[in-house]
Amino acid sequence: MNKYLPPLIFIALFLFLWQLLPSFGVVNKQVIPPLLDVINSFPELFSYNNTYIPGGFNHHLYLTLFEVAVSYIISIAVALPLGFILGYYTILRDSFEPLIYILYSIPSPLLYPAIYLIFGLGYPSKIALGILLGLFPLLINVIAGFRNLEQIYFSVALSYGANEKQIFTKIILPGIMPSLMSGLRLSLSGVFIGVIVGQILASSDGGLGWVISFTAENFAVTQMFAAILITMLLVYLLLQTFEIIERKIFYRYLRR
Amino acid sequence: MSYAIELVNITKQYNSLQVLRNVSLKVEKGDFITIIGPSGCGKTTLLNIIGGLIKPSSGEIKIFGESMKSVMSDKIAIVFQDPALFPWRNVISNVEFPLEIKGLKKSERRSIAKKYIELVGLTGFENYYPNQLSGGMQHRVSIARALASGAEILLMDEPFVALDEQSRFALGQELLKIWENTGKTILFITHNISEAVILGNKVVLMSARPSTVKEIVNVNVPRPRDPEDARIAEIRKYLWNNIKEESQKQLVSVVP
Repeated sequence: MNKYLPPLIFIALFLFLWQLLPSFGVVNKQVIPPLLDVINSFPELFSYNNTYIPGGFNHHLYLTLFEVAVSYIISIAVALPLGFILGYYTILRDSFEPLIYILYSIPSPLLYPAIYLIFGLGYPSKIALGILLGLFPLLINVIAGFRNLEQIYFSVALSYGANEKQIFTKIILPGIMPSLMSGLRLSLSGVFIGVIVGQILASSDGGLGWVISFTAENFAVTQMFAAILITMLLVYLLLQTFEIIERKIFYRYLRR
Repeated sequence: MSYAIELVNITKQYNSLQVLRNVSLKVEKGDFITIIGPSGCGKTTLLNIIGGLIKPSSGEIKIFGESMKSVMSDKIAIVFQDPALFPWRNVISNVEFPLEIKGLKKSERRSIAKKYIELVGLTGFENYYPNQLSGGMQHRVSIARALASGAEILLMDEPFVALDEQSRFALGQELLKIWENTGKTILFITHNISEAVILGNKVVLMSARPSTVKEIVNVNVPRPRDPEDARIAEIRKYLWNNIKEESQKQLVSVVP
């Protein structure tokens, strides 16, 4: 039997129930509209003359992608070099790691009000929230990648006369790559959460999170679900791309 | 005539702990020497010193008559206790590793690696990853890698210790075949007395810590050797009695 068949059946069943239960009044249509209603609202959602979302949906989509991209780039630009330095120099790692873990273990919502105060209600605060949630997963994974490099790899390389550059390119880089890739994936997912939650909480210029919260406040549930569906699809596709790349590259030797 | 390996009064001190004391040993080119001694007596330390991974506190190491000063000699390859293959490289590219470090062209690397993969009987497995191989096969790859490096001397640190009895014996026999075909000089550490007697031309018996060469036993038994041969059994018994004595000293010496 095809391994994709059972999960597909359940996805189909879920979508089917989403259509059926509200249609037959088992679930209140005013709260959860049938699936087809949501899908049928897509063309209107994307048109500029959208009655529910001022300025149309596209503006919010692009703004979100912009905030996510900037947060992600900054997260990588900070976490990657920092992770390499902390991973490479064990003295630095031992000094800074406790601080990193303390910062990481603080529930991030505690810092949200402060971030709004500092960065205002526009896109800078969303970018800051994105970084807040996107930076640590990558940083911690890169450091963990270094930690998981076995000492014997270095002994082997040294015994064959490898120089520092060769040890970096032939041992360290390939050795930490699996960790680094999952760090990049977790970081992207963190950035999305930070940005969208930030938009839901308070946003002067909109964004997908803002659309979801705004339509909910106005009981435009069909539009709300449409926005949720599109957001989910977007995040899913991006993260899935990552996973496929990861699997293609690393599956052959990480398989146990 | 210069020896393949000549150790003159090698001493190694870790703070207050003297591990090796005045170890002197001469190994002729093409010889197969096994080293046994009570566990914890510093056999691995000695091997790492010869391999250039650790500096001795005092003493001199000569490799083919040339004094070795903390420089990795490319005449020596170490086969570690762990096969220590790089999991991100397949069999052929693991074997090519030392050649890559030396900067050989890809086509040259390929043909050399193929030759040694054939020698260890792994033709057909070139594109397998280490985790797809059995423990014994991984050790063969590790030996092929050491041979491919072009080293004249193989230092083997209990290479088959993690294997089951049959695989261990079979690999030992294969190692002998490789040794006969290539004329390499082999220094083989083991704590398995039978293995030491079956494989070695000479068995070097190390004393308890601080360790030194207690005795060198010639195994003048023609090959192929039968483990049940009376002369083999006699040497085994002699070594066993000696090592028992040393082990007891070692145990006493660790009690403060």
